[in-house]
Amino acid sequence: MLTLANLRMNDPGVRAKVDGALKPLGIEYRGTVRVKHLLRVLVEDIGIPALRAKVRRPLGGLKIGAFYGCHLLRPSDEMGWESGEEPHAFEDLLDALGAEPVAYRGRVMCCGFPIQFVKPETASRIAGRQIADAQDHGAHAMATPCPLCHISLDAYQNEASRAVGRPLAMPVFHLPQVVGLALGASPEELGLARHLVPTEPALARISAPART
Amino acid sequence: MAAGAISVPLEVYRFDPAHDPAPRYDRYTVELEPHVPVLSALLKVRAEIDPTLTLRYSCRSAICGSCALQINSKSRLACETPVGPEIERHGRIVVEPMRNQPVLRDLVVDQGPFWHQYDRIDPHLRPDPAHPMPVDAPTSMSPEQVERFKETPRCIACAACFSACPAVEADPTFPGPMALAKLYRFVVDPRDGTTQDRLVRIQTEGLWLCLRCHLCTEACPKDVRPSERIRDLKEMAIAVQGATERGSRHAVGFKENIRVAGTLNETRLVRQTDGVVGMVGQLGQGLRIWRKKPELLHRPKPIQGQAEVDQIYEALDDAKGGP
Ligand code: FES
Repeated sequence: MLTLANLRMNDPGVRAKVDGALKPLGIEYRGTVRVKHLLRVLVEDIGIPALRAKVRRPLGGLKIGAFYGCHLLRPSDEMGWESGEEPHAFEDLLDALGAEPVAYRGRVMCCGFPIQFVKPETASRIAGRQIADAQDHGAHAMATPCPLCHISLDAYQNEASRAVGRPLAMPVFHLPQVVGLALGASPEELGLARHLVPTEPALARISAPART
Repeated sequence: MAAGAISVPLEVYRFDPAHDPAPRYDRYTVELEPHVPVLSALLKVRAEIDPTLTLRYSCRSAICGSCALQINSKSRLACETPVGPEIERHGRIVVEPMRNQPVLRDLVVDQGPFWHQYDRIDPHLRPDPAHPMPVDAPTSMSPEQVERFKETPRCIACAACFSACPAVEADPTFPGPMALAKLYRFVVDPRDGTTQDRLVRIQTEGLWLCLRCHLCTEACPKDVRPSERIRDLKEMAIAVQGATERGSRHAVGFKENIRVAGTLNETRLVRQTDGVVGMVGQLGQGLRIWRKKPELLHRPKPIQGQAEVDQIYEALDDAKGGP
């Protein structure tokens, strides 16, 4: 969203309006701030080989369904990096952490959150479809770079399960948590106990020995 | 093999609901140059391998909108999607019918649900009866007026957006991207006399179910950018009617929430969207979440410089001349 807002600032009309509102406060926006999501920083600025070298606790044995979140990717012509429908940065990252990325259609779909407060049943049905899709493709866990997707997939998973009429038991990690795990941070440091869906079953899947 | 031709493995969805117990995928391999569209690959299969393969197409020039399919899970016009990049990325081409419409046979769907939503929205010019359009003279529009809807007339009603849309998939009351983009076109058309009615009606007819996922904009072969037109409709609807629906209350609540504290107070936002009564309905869920995330219960303190935030809001509201 901030990337798009930044782009709008190139429009002279928008720029004038914003400048007009900021001027009385003595603030000026020069449009020089670069907006970059953590996932992109990890993959582009730090880089996959450097990350791979930092891994202390490879996530081998853990199958993870990457869940991108819409606003990280689309509209892709404005976001200007990955394909809006066939991205691979997140899977590349999971692979570097030693996890096994799962291929499933739902990974680029919507989590339903934007209408959680408009029509909860529909929102939950959308979330449920994506979780079920990951589950059907063998994922032990999902991971998302978007905190709102996390609410939809984790905090509302009960409702999602009810909405699609099937049991779901899918731990959902935040992007920094999977990176942290692989770099050797403890579950406590990463706040894994604060999830609504317990993460222990996923952690128990990790079979690769820790490196020192 | 012709010079420059590549081997194109296809996996094509086959289903005749009248006779087949379940769909299957048939595999074919054809030799084609990389720039050749997927439609030509399918026609080659039909001409040389399996004459029973059923598909729909006409112009072969991305104009008629009849050849939309799922190509490696993306909703696309088969006549303008070259085989080369698909093979490069996936090593094969999985061809399936569009989603969200029932399959009649193989790659042909019944577009009934798509056209039903279109009709429901009434995307036709309805001049104000008090100012009928002249029959013997042209009506004119300024370039600025045309500029406001320059994208939408490009739509060829191929239904790629309808196929790609997760809200359509989950909720039959959502009109879908194309219908809403078409509605937008008539809302901003200066010749239309029913703009206000349209904006009021659409608020209860599914406008707020758009997820802003932009999958429609990604799929649209004509760059109509339906998700952006839907965003415009939402803004106009709030301007006309204020925050009367849950969707608009949530949007406006968000804005006001930031205004008073400079930061988001989730509890307050839920109350603004659902009202106190609605909030009680969410209590069970709320308790489960709050037990794990107790900080949500704390009322965030206004940020430093909150007064400045308020000033910025005021200046922008003045500039807009409205809420
Ligand atoms: S055949 Fe007409 S749009 Fe493709």
